[in-house]
Amino acid sequence: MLRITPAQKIIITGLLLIALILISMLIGNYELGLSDLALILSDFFKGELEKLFNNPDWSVLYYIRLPRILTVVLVGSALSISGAAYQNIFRNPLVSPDILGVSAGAGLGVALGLLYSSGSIFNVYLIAFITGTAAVALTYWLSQLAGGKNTMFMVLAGIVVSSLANALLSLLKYLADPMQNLPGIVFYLMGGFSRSGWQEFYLLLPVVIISLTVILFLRWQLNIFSLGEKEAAALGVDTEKIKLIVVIFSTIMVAAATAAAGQVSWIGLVIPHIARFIFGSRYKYYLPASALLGGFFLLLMDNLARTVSGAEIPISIITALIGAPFFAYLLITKKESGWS
Amino acid sequence: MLKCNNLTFSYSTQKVLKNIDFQAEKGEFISILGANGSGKTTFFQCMQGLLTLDAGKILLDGENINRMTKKEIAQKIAVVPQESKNVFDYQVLDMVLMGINPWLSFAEQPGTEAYHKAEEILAELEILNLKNKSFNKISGGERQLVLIARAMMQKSSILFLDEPNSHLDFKNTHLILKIMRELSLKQKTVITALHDPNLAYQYSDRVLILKSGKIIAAGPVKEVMTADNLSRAYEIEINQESSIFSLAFQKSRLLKQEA
Repeated sequence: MLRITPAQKIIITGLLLIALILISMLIGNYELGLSDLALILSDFFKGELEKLFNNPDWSVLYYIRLPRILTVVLVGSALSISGAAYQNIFRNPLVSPDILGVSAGAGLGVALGLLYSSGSIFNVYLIAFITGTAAVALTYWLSQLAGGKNTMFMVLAGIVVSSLANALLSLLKYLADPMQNLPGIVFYLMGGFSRSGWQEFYLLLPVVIISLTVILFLRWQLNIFSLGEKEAAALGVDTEKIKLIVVIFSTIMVAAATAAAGQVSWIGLVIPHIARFIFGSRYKYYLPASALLGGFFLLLMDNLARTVSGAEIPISIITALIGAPFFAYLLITKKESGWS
Repeated sequence: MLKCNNLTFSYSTQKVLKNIDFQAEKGEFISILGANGSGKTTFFQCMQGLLTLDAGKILLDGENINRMTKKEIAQKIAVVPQESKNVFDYQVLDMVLMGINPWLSFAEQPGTEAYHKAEEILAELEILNLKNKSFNKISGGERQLVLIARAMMQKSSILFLDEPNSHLDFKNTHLILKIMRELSLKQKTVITALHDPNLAYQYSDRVLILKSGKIIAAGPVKEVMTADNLSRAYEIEINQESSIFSLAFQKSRLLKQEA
């Protein structure tokens, strides 16, 4: 049988993602065929901009579909990368960005932003960022008080902080005007990309690129980190420093993703597993693979979300409906590494 | 080389190590003996600079270990953990490569030279055939050899082994200790905790016996390893017959079987 190297597998995954992006451009209520797409591209490259801008196909593609598709890919990547990073840092394949209270904290921030700021998307982002980061800081501080350097305490403290943030979120929902504000908060947090425009994309892009670069730079040390903190320390890894850097950058990504798309569940847990199953545990391949696969799968699910029924289904419902049984399948068959 | 002065350590209120004075020279093979809970593992962790001492200090080539970074310590001390499986699986070659880490700068990746070195070490230990195998799927003895290869990759002058044979069979136990002995003859300092006094007797130059966090005897094997000292350490009567230690009750059982 032909042996495919991990590097080749990554190229294949990248090509699949590009193909899916192209297909996604053609999916939707407004009919856009392959020939329309070709026309737009040829006008674009010929520089016939006036003709291009007057074409309604271009408007649909450029102002609605393209920013949405790219935002979906970025959110999927961000959640998967942070999931992959968390799993190595906490040496636990069951860890996802939801732990440490990031998602819950950022969700609380979204609700606060929608209720009490002027409603500008940038303010919602900013507040989600602040509360997401504050949640992690609180988790870290609690774990230091309780157990010091033991990583398990950090996970437990994350559960505490998540509960707290969710309780506050419920309080906000309870106090919110049920006609004016409540539906907005609920739908925002259920997750979805219907409002995604270029603004969301440009806010997410630098966050994902910077975080991915930082984590990729530390890939070798993250490999060693997964052997456990004591063993990593004995091999000369500055465990405290690495943990801090990786947790900060992963958190920023999750907070940004939550602000952009609401609480998208399961991606950060399931995708790293699939990536490890296909590409092995070496971070060099596993991390870029997680990023590509995260983008690919979330885009697939977003396409489902906007085509399965007439009205759009919130993305977290789709990710949970597909993610949960799939994860159960992984657990039962124990096929991916880390369980054998 | 490695020197501990008046080392004292406690977990919250419980004193685990009391006034330990200890010195290890180049090329020595030193075994640490003691009952479960006597402080062997804590002693190792202190000497790796992982724990904050109550009192005393540890000097590594004359430098206080508390003032050294983890990387500087790892350049001088390599640790072979008890055999364990990984949560995330790696290839054998990757596991060995991780040993080069203390010599890499922050965010640096191992280069081709390191790969060749890793293969060389695997060949030296006669396990080059395992190179591309999954670490979690090889046998316990093989895993321990891989961890030793990783320690050799670290190029450190001191090797710590905390009960290296706890998961190993008879053959692998002696194979690992033989390799350690050979490394000590190549001027590496080997310090190991062992459960079996007979192994310590066969392989080490010097022995340190711990009891409740205190050194009750230390020195060359033949002087220190007496039935008397061991009986005190393990709190049970121990006999010695032609350099083999056994528990007193073992003998009566054997006699019964013969009769």
